[in-house]
Amino acid sequence: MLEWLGGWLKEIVAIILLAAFIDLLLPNKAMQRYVRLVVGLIILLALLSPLLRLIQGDIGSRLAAGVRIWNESDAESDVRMPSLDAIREDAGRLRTGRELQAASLTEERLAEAMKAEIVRRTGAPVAEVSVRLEKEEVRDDVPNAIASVTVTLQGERAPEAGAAGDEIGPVEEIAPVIVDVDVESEEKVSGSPDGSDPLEAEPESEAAWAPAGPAAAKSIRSVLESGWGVLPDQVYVRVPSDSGAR
Amino acid sequence: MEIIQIVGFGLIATVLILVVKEQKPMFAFLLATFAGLVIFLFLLGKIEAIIAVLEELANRTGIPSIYLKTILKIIGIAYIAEFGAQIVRDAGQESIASRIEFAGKVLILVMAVPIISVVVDTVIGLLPAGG
Repeated sequence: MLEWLGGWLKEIVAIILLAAFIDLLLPNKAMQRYVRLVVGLIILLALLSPLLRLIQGDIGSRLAAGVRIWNESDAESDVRMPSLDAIREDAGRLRTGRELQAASLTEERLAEAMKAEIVRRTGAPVAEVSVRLEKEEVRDDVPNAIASVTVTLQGERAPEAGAAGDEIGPVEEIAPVIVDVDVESEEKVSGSPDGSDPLEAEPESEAAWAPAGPAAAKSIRSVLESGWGVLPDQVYVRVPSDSGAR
Repeated sequence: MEIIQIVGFGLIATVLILVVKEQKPMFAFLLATFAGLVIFLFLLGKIEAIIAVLEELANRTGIPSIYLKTILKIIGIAYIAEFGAQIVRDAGQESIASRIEFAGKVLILVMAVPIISVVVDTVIGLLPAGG
């Protein structure tokens, strides 16, 4: 008890000494009133500290938190110039976004032009052409080279387009067999007559699509190669598999 | 014997300023500012010693460091504001000098805000709730 009292008194005496020092250090009279107010508040806090501790725990940490919050709000209200790096980063992000937009627009336009050209030159019933652009190695961030072209033919007339080799028919028979993961059945698939040509199959094609007949595919590829310089193995020609099964 | 150096420096600066002032008031002002800065920096070391003593005192008596920090910040603000205001006043811009002093006062009062908020919180906590 006595020890605690001694500590408290020592604190008060030290703060008052400090206050006297400050008063002497102050450069002029004009500031004195303000400084005395603040120092007086601090002395008051020191005097009250046992009471405060009794009522609401640790005031030191609360005071520190208050000062920190105040300083932070002070710093936030400052107008901060963004750094040069931040500006550059922003510019880079905006540019990438713009060029990505341009790339998607290019994809659409290319697809439209290709569709019109294919219809004009081969008369194939094209339902949709989708072009995917990809990054060239020189400029890493924006797709700007044609990676693949997917041509979808209309299902009703697909057999007519692929009349030369009618290998689309058995596809439906195969599909259920694939589900069964078995060595025997797999051999059956590969050994089945008129299996779909692996070169023509689109890698990510699902059950809904089947490759188109080789004659139509070949003519479409030649059109795209002569018109846009698209390599033949970048072109996938497909028809809806249900119509292909007919 | 630093006081002799400082007084001597001040006297020389004053004579020079008086000589230059007739021909070029501009240079007189610059000279005065420079002399003031030199004396201020000269005394900075001494102020540092005083502050070190205060810090040691605070450490030994266990004053919360937040008190000492606040008080030192107040002294710093007061000195810098006073110094700037005096220089501007020497150049004859009384109104700007008083604005600088005003800014100093406001910033000193800002230091008091956390303390006031804690005291007010406590007083409100003392009152019976809902009374």
